[in-house]
Amino acid sequence: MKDQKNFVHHIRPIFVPSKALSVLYTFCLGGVSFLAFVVLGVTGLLLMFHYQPGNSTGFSSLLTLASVIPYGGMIRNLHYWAGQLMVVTVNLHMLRVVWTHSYKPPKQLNWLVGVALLMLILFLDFTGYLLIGSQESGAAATVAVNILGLIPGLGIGLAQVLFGEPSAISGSTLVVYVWHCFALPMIALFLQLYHFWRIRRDGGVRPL
Amino acid sequence: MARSPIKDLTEKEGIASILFIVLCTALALTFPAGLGTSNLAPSASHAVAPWIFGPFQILLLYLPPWLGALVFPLLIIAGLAALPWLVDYLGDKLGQRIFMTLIVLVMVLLIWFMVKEVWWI
Repeated sequence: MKDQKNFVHHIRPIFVPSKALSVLYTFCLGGVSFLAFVVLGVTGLLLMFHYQPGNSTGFSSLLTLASVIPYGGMIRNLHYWAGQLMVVTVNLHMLRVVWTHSYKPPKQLNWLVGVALLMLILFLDFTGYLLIGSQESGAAATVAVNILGLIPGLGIGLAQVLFGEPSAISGSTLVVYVWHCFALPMIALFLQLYHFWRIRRDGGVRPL
Repeated sequence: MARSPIKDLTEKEGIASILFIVLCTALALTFPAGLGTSNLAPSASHAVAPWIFGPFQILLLYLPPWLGALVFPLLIIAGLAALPWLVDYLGDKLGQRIFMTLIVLVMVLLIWFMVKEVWWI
């Protein structure tokens, strides 16, 4: 597999096991998860033109988006459903990997990257939920801050880093917004590219 | 003449992509994303987590916070991350069985949440 170490060779592989070309082998779940990530990126970028984070502005800007901005509601619906579907496809992808034993050596590092990606995607989903700025988001933010507070020594500082001001009543804070719109997607994108590259680097998918 | 793997890969990923976009658009057109309750409205007596975090809410309802919110989820994540080494150490059958137990546990918690709470969006 020396010839496939370059990232470009993931996009244009020289060799692909014939079994891996069958739709029933991977169900395209990894690729579809990445497509969901792209849809989330595009719709999220469009939402950023109108969304204003903040206790008083988060919820109201979403109301404006849904009722006043042309296609605003549709863009938000697409963003929401792409996020929900991504959680489903990522979990199914993980089940498929276990089913086909694709986590075994030499692919254990890629499995770890996949687990990290799953955690990141769940946290992205959570921060997205907080950004709605509703009462429910506020309750979720309070629960999350209290849970982190249980970690001795680190908890309160970690809550400040992840959620901003813990007294926020709606969950929609500038800190959460920056995590959701920039920091987490950037980390997730980097890990996904590394994840793809390692598939070929570790020898591609193996037949059952 | 053998077909190019690129053509095969592009075809199947392309079809899967189109199916995904169609499903996502159909859901977006049919079921609007919920907004919840405004924080200017009177306080709701009970907050329900989104379905993704339903298992977490059930754990928090029935277990002490340090156990349900920290130890238990961290054990699940650690078990998931350690799967390749668990299988290597315990053997294929036992390792896979532990993984399936984790999956079944999460699914039971999710179904429990759906039955117990008024859930949707």
